[in-house]
Amino acid sequence: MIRNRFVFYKPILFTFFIMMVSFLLTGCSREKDTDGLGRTIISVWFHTGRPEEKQVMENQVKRFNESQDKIKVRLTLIPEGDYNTQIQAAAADGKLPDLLDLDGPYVYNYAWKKHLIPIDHLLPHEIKKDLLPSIIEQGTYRGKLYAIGTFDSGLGLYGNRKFLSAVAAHIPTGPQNAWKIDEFEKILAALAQKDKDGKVLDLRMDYRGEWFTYAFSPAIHSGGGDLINRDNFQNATGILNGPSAVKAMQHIKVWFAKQYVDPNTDTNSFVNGRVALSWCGHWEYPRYSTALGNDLVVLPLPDFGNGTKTGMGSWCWSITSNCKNPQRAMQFLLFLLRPTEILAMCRANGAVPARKSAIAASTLYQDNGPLHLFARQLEGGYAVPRPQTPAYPVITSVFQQAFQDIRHGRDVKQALDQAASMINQDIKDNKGYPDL
Amino acid sequence: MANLRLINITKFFGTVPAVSDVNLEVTDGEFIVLVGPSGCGKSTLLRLIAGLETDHAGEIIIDGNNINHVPPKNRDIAMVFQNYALYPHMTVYQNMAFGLKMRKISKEEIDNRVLEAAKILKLQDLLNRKSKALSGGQQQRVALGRAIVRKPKLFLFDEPLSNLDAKLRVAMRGELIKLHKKLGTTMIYVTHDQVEAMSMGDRLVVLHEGKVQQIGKPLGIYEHPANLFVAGFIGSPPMNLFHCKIRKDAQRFTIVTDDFELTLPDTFLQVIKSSNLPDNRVILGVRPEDIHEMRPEICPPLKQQISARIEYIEPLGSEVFATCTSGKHEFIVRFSAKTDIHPDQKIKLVIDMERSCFFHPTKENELTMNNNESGDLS
Amino acid sequence: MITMTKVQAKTPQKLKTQSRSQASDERTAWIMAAPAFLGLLLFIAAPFIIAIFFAFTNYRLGSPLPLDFVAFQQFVRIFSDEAFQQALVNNSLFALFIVPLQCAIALGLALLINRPLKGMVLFRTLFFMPVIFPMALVAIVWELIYAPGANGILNAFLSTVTLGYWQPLDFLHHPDLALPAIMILSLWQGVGFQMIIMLAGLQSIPQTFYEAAAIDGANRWQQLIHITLPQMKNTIIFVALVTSILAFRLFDQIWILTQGGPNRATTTIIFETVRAVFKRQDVARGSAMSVVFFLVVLAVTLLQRRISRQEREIR
Repeated sequence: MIRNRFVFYKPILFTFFIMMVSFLLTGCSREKDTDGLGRTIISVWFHTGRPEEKQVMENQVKRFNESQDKIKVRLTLIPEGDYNTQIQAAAADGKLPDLLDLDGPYVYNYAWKKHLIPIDHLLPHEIKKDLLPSIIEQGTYRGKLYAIGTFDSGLGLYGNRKFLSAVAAHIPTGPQNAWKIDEFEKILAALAQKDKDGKVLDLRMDYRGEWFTYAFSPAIHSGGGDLINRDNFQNATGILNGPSAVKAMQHIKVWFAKQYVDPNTDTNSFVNGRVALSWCGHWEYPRYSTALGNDLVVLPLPDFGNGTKTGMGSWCWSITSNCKNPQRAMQFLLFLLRPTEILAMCRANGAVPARKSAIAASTLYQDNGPLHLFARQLEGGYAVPRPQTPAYPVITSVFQQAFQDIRHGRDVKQALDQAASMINQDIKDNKGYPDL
Repeated sequence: MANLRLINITKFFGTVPAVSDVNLEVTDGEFIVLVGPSGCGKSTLLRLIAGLETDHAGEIIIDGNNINHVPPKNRDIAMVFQNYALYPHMTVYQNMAFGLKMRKISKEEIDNRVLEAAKILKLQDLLNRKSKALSGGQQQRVALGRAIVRKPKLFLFDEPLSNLDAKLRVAMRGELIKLHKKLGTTMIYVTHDQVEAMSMGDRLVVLHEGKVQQIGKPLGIYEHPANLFVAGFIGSPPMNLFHCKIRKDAQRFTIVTDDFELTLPDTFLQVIKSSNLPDNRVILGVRPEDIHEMRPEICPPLKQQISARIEYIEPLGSEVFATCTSGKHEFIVRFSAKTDIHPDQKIKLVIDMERSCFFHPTKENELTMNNNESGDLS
Repeated sequence: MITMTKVQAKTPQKLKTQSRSQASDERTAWIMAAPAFLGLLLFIAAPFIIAIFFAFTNYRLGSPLPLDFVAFQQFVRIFSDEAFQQALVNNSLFALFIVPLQCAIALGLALLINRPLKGMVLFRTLFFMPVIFPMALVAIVWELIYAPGANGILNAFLSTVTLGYWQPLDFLHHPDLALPAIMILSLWQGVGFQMIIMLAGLQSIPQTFYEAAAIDGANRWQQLIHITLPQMKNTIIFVALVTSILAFRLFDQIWILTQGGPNRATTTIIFETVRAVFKRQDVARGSAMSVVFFLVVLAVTLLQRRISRQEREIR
């Protein structure tokens, strides 16, 4: 009797066990390609930073789904903080969606790993012509377009006219007559003399991570250096730690050493009038302009010797190699690239619209708009993309560390030497990131 | 060397009186045993003397000084705890020396005293062992040693032998008595074991529900328990108690139960007469050894004989205790071991009335005694 | 005769069912334990073995390049890496200060709280509260306390106390103050946990030891030295062990407050590991670091075991 019972139970137990293990190992089940109405399902991941952006995105998806009956976009929102980690995990697992947005400079690493597919052929020529050159530049890896942003970023100096006129500083009218570095430092000194605690410059030291590379690698470019040799992206030594880069970073180090820089732990140093200048991006314009009104001036970054340079790049869209129907995924992306949709998103996040036609319609960025400088910088070649190489995650991590070290007083040459050698080491470890 | 006086000591735990209105005078060099069932307040009383319990009413006086507010360390007493409370992280030597070290006594002196105590207690070979590694008996001796080296005015013992096995307990009892003789220090000893109390104390203090029941020499208390509680508590097996009535016929008084009648000896005549007994009821107390088998060859049959039946027997070697019944009454009789008795045997018994006690049926006090200390008269 | 055969016939059968039911008991036991074993294997043993394996390769997160074995190259690299060396130094410094300090303060608090007074439950709860706060919250609170400039809470406080002589400091960015600042906030956050363990230890010391000591003439301080501390020895060793492991695991505060800076003054083994793996996708290097981390913790544990075993042997 006992034995019989076991004969009966054994397969059940065994099946149960196998089911449990397989459930554990495979996680959730596969998603379907079409829905009940025969529409192609396109899965889309979007990072959620500010709530306004999320709201616009959800509305866009809704509008798109209602506008036609061939494609159904299924949107997944992932918090910005974990976004990159999530994507790395999904990529390793082969579970990427059809379409997703990525933080610009990470595109190259995914492209190299073949998680993304080129989309040049899917992009109509007239749209390509209308896009900002910066959008194409930063979306291109080894000659192929892998990502398109619907907006770009602007970086510059926000100034408080009251303080600047108090020291009789001339106010640049555009990137062509940006402050030379010596002039800039004279202004800093003059401002500091009139300031209660001598801290007159906000470098947004309350930010973390990518900010340092985005905001301060333009200083190196402006000084004639770079993060890496862009001819073949194989070598950083002699470039990142070359005399031009060292000299540029030396200037920044001096600002810290002379106590010009406000630590800005409360994020309010500029709006509260503690500092005269804030080195920051387009996203702070609404807050800054509300606080300062007509006293707010938007200026190019100082010229470290080779003309002013600025950053570019923001979140952008890519189609993954998981996508079975790239044309249909592209249809949604093209929908997002319509000037009206671009403007809807840019109204939410204040970014520079990706299309010239949209810029012309944007009150902020059109010719007489208060942020026209940012559009001009992007159109006029003042903006430099971050290196389009799969080594970028390492480059930025190493540069962030070097910047922090320099900020805390480490010898500039030493810090950059180490950063350059770590980058070279990584490239060597990856056999030069060969094409696969 | 000290006199101890307790005056009207009362101690409450919350609203419950643990000790109430205790008076006691201990003379120098005496061995006093506080005895009673658990919860009677004996340990509390001891801890009050030690200073481990405070906030009591009444006065504690050592050598004429009121020590109510003196902390334990300044009372010049030593205490042996039931679980010994040896410091497990110290060696035997360190345990014994600890109290002296705290009192900043010179190293030489400490050495001398510890070695002396170790010699008395035969601990010389164990001095470097950790106290944890010792047997119960050894730990007990270390605890004693720790008290002895201090040369205090007063020794306090809180059931020190109750954690030992029976054989060791009897041996340690003897050791303690010898020790007391040798040191001559005043000792106050708490136990719930009446045999221990009887065999060790110069005087006993019997406590019940926080109150002193009787103070006296062991034998005095045994023979003349002050009340029914003491009669039942002291002595093993306890005193037999019979509820009786007194019948007065002509010149004689007769003690009457449903099952037998006994003549009241003349010695008790006066006390029975003067006691105001309700309905002439009285409780007769007889120790098991005061009941004898009536043997025709020794004395002629008497009217006072009791016809009884032996229910069961407990042979203890030197003696046999037999539980007997006579009608409704059940009582215990002590026989010598040589007596040939067996259960279900019918037997005739007589009571040695001269040695018996009489208790008031409601007040429960012994009739002959006017005060608690009467047992002390002898 | 009949009864005999019956008995003979029955016995072996009975034995058989017995052994069979024993075997099935065992099988049931294994089946019951299987999920737990599986979990242990999947989530603890496997990742660790994989980490050891990766430490000897050049594995990079999601790299399409073939995996190469590099023997001890990763270890050679991390030990010649200034940042990792500094991380080892920082972790050791952190443990060196925090372990005795935190144990002492935890014991002190436990002693204060181990009194049958009214309101002690409140104090106990208050001291324990930071333990249940998430470190992210604690770090934000302390970031405000350490805020640079005259408006920072600590700076303002010190300025008031010193009647204005205090010059405001940027604690978290000061090369000599950043690590101590992290130590203080970690102590504040963690001490309640150690306090509770110490309290449990204190309450397991028999009251009679104190009574005996009181009669032996020991005052409060002498009771602490001669009774409490020796009795607490094993508890203290345990707490010290747990604290040193936590000290070597130091990460959250660093990640949130200092990012290892200034100039690596607050970098730690785990911080370097996380950076290697998640910022630079260098899984092999991170694995090598976590193997070193494991060995360090193992060494600390073995040391503690040796100390406590010696203690037991003496007893």
